[in-house]
Amino acid sequence: MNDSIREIIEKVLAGDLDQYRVIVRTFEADVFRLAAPVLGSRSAAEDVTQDVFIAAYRRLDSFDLAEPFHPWLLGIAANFVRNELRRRSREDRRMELYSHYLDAMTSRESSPDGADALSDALARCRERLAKTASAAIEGRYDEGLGLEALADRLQRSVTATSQLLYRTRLSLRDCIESQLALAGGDS
Amino acid sequence: MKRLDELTLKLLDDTIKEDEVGELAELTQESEGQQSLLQLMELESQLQACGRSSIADRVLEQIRQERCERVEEGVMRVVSESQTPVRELTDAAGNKSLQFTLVVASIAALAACLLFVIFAIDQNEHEHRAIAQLIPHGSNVRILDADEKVRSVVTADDSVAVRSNETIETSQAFDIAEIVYADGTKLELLGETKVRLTARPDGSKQITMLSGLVQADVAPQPEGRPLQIVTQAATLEVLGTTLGVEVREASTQLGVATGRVAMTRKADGQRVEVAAGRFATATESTVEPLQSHPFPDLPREWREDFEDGLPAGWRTGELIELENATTVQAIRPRRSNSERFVITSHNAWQEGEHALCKIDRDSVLHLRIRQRAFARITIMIGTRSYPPARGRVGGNLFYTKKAWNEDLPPDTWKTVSIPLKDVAWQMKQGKRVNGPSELAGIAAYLIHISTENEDAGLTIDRMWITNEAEANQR
Repeated sequence: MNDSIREIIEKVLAGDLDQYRVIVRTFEADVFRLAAPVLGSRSAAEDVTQDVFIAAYRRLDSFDLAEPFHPWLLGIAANFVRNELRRRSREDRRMELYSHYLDAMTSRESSPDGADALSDALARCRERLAKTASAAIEGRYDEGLGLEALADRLQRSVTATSQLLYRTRLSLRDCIESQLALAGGDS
Repeated sequence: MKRLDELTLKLLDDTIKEDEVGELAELTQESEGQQSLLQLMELESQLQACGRSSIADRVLEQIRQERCERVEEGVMRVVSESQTPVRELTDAAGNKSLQFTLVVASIAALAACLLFVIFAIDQNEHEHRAIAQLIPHGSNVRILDADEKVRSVVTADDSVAVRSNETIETSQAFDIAEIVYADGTKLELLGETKVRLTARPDGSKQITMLSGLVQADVAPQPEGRPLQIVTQAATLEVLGTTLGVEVREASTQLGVATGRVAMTRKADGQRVEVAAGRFATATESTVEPLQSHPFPDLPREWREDFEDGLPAGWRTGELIELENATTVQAIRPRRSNSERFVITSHNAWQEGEHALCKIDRDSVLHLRIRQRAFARITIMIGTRSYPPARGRVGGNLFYTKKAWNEDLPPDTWKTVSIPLKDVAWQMKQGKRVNGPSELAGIAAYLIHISTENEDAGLTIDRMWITNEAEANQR
C-alpha cells in the first residue's frame, strides 16, 4: 500500500478524523464511478458513495495495514451497490451483467492517471459534439434532467430524444477510444 | 446501432425489458461482448461524474454527528437518572441544605456523566463488537438488527461480522449460511432458517432458533457456560459436540452425532440427555414423555406421483390435471420476491421424516417432465448427513449441466434420468466444491426445480429416486 495512505489511516485510527477527509478525496471518484452506471443516477451513486465511506470508517480498525486499501474499499462499495440493487429487486439476470463491471472495477488497481486520461478524453470529445447532441448530454448529465424534460427542452419527441442520447453516447465512446489510442501511441 | 450497444444503453437507462436482459446476458457471454458492455458502463460513469463536487465534508459531518449522538444519549440518561434523588432531598431539607444538595448533586451528576459517557462508548463498542462471522452460500441471506430491520443482504461468499442480538435469515430453500465463532464453533443454517445470536453477559453463546434447520459443530465450551439453543418448545445445552436441530412452529427435533446434549422441554421442564446417534422431539404438548430414540434406517428409494394430490407440507407447485394425469406445474413462490417459477417438494426433514431417502453414488433422480419451450432449468437437491456424523457433510447439490433439456420436444412427456454422481456440490464442510463428488453418508430431504422463464411451462408428472446398484441386485 502507498506509504502516505497507510500513514493517513494510522492517524485516523489514532483519532484524527480530519485526516479521513484526505482518504475520501483520494478515493471518492473511484467509488462513485463504480456505483454510478449500475444505480443509474448521480444522486443514488452519491448516496451510496457517502454510505461506503462511513461504513469504511466504522470498519477501519479491522483493515489490515499491510494490504492495499483501494481493493478493500471497492470491495465494500461493490457490496453496497449489490445490496442497493437487491433492495430495488433488481438482482436476477441484471446482477450477472453488472457483475462483469463490478468485478472489473474492484480488481483494477487505482490509477489516477488512467482516470484523468479518460476524463480528459471525454472533455475533448464533448467539445466536438454537434450543438443538439451537446445540449442533450449537458441536460441529461450535467443538469440531471429526465427524458421527458429533456425532450421538452430540445423540442423533440421522447423517442427522438432517447435515440439522440443513444447515438451521442456511442459516438462519444468511439471518440474516446480513438483519443486514448492516440495518446497511447504518443507515449 | 449494434444490438449489443442498444441493449447496454437500455440497461443503463433502466428501460430494458426482462427478455432483453436475457438476450444481453447471452451477448455478453464472450469477452468481446463483456468488453463492449464495460466500455459503455465506464463512459456512463464518466458522464455522471462530470462536474461532481466532493462529498468529503458530508461524510465527515455525518461521522461527527454520529459521535455526538452517542455521547448525547449517554449524557441524557445520566441527567434523567440524577433528577429523582435531588427531588427527594428537597422535600426532606430546608433552603440552605437544598443549595448544598444541589451542588453535591450537580458534582455527582457531572462525575456520573463522565462515567456514563465512558460507559456509553464502551457499551456502544460492546454492542457493535462482532461475535461471529457470517459466510453466506446463497444470494438471499439477510442480517436483521435487534429491531428486526434488515441491516444487510449479504452476497454469497462474502464474510460479514455479526453482532450480538442480530438475526440471520436464509430466505429461500436453496440458501445456506455458515456462522463461525472465534472458538471454532460452526453453525450451518439450511434454507428458510432464522436464528438470533446473542453474547450473554457471562460470555456464553445463545442461539435463539426461530425456524428452520441448523447443523452445528460446537467446540468445547468453558465449564458452566454451555452454548444454549433456545426454541419455542425447548432449551438445549451444548458443551461441545456435533448436532442438528430442526424447528417447526410448535416442535423442536434434536439429532446428536457425537457427545451428549441436554434437552429441556419448556412446557413442563422435563429434561432428557440425548446421546450420539439418537434424536428427540420436544413439542408444546406434555402428553408424551420426552425421550430419545435411535435414528431409524431410511429407504434407498423414493417416489412421488401426485396421484393422491400434493403430499403434506409440499412447498411450491400447482396441482393440475393434464391429459388424464395429475401433475404439478411450476409457479412463483408466494412467500418470496423471487421471479423464478418453481416446484419444491416438501421438506422431509421438517416434516419429521428425517429425509426422503438415503443417497449414494448409485442414486439416480428421475423426472417425468414436460416443457412448452426450452428454458434453462435448475435442479437442486437438499441433503443432510444421515445419520448425523462428526463434521458437517450435506448441503445443496446442483445439477449444473447446461441445456440438459434442450432436446426435449415441446408439450411432450419425457423421462429424464440424472445420476446424482454427476451433480456438483455447492458446499461441503463449509467449502464450495465444484464438480462430481463423493456421495456417502447423506440423505436427500428436499428437491427444488426452477426456471426463470414462465413460457417454459415446466410441469412434472412423477419424480423418483432409485438406487441402480440395489436395482441390479434385484
